[in-house]
Amino acid sequence: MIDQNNATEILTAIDKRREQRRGFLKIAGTGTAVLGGAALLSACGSDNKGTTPTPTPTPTPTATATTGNLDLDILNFALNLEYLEAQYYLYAVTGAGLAANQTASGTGTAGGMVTGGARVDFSGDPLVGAYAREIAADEALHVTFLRSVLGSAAVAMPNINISPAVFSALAVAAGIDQTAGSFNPYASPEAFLLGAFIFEDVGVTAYKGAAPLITNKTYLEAAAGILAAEAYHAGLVRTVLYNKGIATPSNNLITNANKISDARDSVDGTVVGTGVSAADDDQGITVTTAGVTDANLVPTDGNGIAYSRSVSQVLNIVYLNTAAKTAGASSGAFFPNGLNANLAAFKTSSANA
Amino acid sequence: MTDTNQQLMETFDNRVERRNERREFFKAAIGAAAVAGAGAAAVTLGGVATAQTVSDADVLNFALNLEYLEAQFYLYALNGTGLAAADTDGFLVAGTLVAGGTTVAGQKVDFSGDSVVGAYAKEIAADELAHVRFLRSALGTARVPMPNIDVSPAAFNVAAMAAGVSTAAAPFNPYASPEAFLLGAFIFEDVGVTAYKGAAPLLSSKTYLEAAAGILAVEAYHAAIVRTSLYAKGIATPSKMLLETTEKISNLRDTLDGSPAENSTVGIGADDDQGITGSNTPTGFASNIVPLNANGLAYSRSPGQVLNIVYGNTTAPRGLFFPNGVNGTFKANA
Repeated sequence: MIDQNNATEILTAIDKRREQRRGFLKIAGTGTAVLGGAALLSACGSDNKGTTPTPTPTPTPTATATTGNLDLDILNFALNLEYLEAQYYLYAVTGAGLAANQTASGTGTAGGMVTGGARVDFSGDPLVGAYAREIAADEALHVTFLRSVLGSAAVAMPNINISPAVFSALAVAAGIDQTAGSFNPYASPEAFLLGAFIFEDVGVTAYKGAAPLITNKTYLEAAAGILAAEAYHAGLVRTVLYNKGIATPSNNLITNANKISDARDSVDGTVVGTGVSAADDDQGITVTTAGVTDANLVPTDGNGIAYSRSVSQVLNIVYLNTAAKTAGASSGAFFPNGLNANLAAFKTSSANA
Repeated sequence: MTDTNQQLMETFDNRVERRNERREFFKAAIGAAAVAGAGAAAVTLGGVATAQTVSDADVLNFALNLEYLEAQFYLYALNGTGLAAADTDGFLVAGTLVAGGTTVAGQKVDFSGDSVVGAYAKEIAADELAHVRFLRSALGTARVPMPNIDVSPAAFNVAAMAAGVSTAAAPFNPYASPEAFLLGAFIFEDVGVTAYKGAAPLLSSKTYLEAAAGILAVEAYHAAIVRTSLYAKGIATPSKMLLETTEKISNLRDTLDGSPAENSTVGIGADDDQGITGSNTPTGFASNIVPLNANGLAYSRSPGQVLNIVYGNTTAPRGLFFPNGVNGTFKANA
């Protein structure tokens, strides 16, 4: 049915190209374990055939209400979140984080410190280990990519705290644990998945909320590509948690994921009437209607559309600002000194009352 | 099959001279609109500026065609029936409401042996139905009716044979089992992601852009559910060849959709499709649930590239899942 010679040649060529990405993944694994980010950067350079746009501001579109072109601020906001995600996954997979030259600012200012983080023993669950290594490589790529796009405008990594104490504080706030210090995302593959669950849906809503604020079409399409990647990650994590939760109800994975979702929903505050955000913009992995419980692996509104979060809402989550209803915050939890940003709006959250 | 053979050979021949297909697609789209002479080409949404060569309505209608297809597949798999007539009518000429096209039916899948996959099917079907209704609502009287759609086992087997995963004697039926259903879903979901991503920069309304980004995310969640499930099942039971099958389907999509010029900064590439097979790394084995480029970005496909896949060929603006082509401005192959 298919000319075998041609088909084989086509497929061989395709496989070679795919290997470029796989080869990169391989190098990324080596780099983080042995050399840190130096190998990552060089690998990216050799594979990056595209053109990186010069981060020059373009005219503000009249159709939006923004006060100016915020593209670089938005990309730097995303970079802060990618620093956090990359550190979490890299520590979980390798026991080490991003290299110093992946965390310094574009102008050379040294990056901040990472507190906590530990290697997870995936030997008892190689499938989750394979997922973790894939996601870690993706998040490291996002850091490298955003830094490359931002060039000299890239902010340095702020101080990041991914210690069990921070995750535990969130677990306590979510009602998963009664006592501080009992939830450790590095303790097991399942705990690692819950830790990942904390981040991934937030990444999706953050990129989606930022999309309409981006002026430059190149940045927009790139951001849409990262949005999709984060949604794939989130879908992966939610699917695995759901499967494990159904298979072994006693591990409470579904219950705990649902509680984390509720906590995010509570902490991120309520924004009314902006058209960007909704009061209930987070969902667990099951939904119960009239006594019937269904899978809910995709958090969507009634139109089948994923939610957006404003910058402020995202900040309230990563700062774990439990005072969200009464006061904003400019640091806390995963970012003990706050995000690195040039504008206060990308560092300090609102009360969202 | 002869047609498919011919198409694959032509695709191969054309590889060396591929250019920026996204620019080509604009020309093709304009040409198609002129030839078709359909009223949809001139339709605009209220209050939306149309300074571009394509309107937001054109883009949303393109997406609506894909959502009709996805909804039909999942609804048949779940219920044994498809979209109601009230969800498929639309306007080919402004002011004239016509009924939706016909559907060569799918079948109800027996999920009793795998209730987890059944739960996924239920959720995804609801999402796709919601997408159809949302887009129709957003488009209002600019919405196109559902074109004729073929989600029959025979249509899927044409694709499966082209991918080299089935034969006429041992056909592929996506409704035969929960696992076959996942493979059927695999055919669509990554394509939806790349289609929305490629379409995002074409939208001028920020409101529609944000909505489209939301559907993009949902399609990526769906794709991850499908890919993760296939991966776990494939690793657990290698004899099912599920990983290998995804690679073959992925390669077929990659072959059909052409070779646009590489742009790794936005996520356009000749090899813009990946199966789920993982690879060894120094720190251990890594899966490939997420199909990304070297910058960690999901890929974009132009409408023409997407149509090549759902038409099952690179030249005729119809075929496979859309026997008469799609409705709207974007009809042409890449």
